[in-house]
Amino acid sequence: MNSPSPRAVRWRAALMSMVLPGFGQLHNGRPNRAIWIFLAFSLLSVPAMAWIATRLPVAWTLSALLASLAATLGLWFYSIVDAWRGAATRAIRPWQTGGLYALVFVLCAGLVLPLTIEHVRSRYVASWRIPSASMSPGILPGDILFADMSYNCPGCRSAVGRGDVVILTYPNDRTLSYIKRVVGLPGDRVRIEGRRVWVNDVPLEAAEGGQDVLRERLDGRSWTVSWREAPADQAIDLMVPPGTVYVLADNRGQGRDSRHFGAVPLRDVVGRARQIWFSSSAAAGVRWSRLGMAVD
Amino acid sequence: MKPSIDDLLEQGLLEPPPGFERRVMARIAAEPRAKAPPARIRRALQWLALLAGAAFGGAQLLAFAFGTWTVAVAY
Repeated sequence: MNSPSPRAVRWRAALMSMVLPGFGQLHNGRPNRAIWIFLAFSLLSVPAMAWIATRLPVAWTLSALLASLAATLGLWFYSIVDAWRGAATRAIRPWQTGGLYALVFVLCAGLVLPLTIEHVRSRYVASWRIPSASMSPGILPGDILFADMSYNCPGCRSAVGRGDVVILTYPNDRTLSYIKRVVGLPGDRVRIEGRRVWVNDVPLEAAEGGQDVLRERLDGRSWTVSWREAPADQAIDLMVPPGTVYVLADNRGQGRDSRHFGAVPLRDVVGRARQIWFSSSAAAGVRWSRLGMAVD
Repeated sequence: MKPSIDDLLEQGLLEPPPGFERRVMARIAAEPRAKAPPARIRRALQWLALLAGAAFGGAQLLAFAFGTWTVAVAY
């Protein structure tokens, strides 16, 4: 039986590390090196990104995330080059069988990596693209932002607060996600008359920003809302039921919110918008000035 | 009346008839064997499996490395 040429062995090792970091090292008979490379890639890259995206101050987040992404890709590239080089001195051991390779591949590529990223995206940080103008002028169509998903759950770091911009499951179609601002917590009294909003009898608007654009303030936080095209005769006065929150779109004229679909169950509030990491539109191209902007 | 098992045990073991082993082995050698697929098809299947595995692994790896940046839509 012909043994493969050294060049073929090198290509095979490099290809294996290309589809799974550390896999080429396993092929080269270096299991310890393979394990460390795989662990470094799977645990120190994406979980590190999750930590950065949720724990670091917003001013540092974007650059630290890009550095972490570069480190992840660098480690991947190193694994490929190392497998190529190591194949020249490949040691054949009895356990190096096709069955073992298949098992490792299925476990790591089919189980460990997908479960890790799914866990990170559902519990720590996820990216959301905003196609609608419902949260303008603060969040524009074409913005892509990070949301802190370690939010509003048992053991999470932060609970839902008034003024938070949250990602929620749309109550009338649970396949859709909405982004809105929480104005009323369970038990709060929310009153809307025309273009004025009160929460527990405290008015929200703080200063006029224009004819239809107002600055609202609540619990020491402030944000800008637009009432353009909003009906002037709306009147709402309600108590937020227990276990629910009342959410409003910042674009009060165009956005659909609790005025239309009612209060949202707390369990359907899945994340809090944190920072815009990309922004573009067909007309303006990339909006560089918005990159890295914190969500108020 | 059938012999009891104790009677049969006392009779000793049966001997195979002469030439029995040769006839059996000749029959086995003459049995048709399953044909292996031609080498060309085997190689093609191996490449197909390799490419499928590489595509699957590559997709999983990219989904992992860029998972934090992969977007969902919020209206």
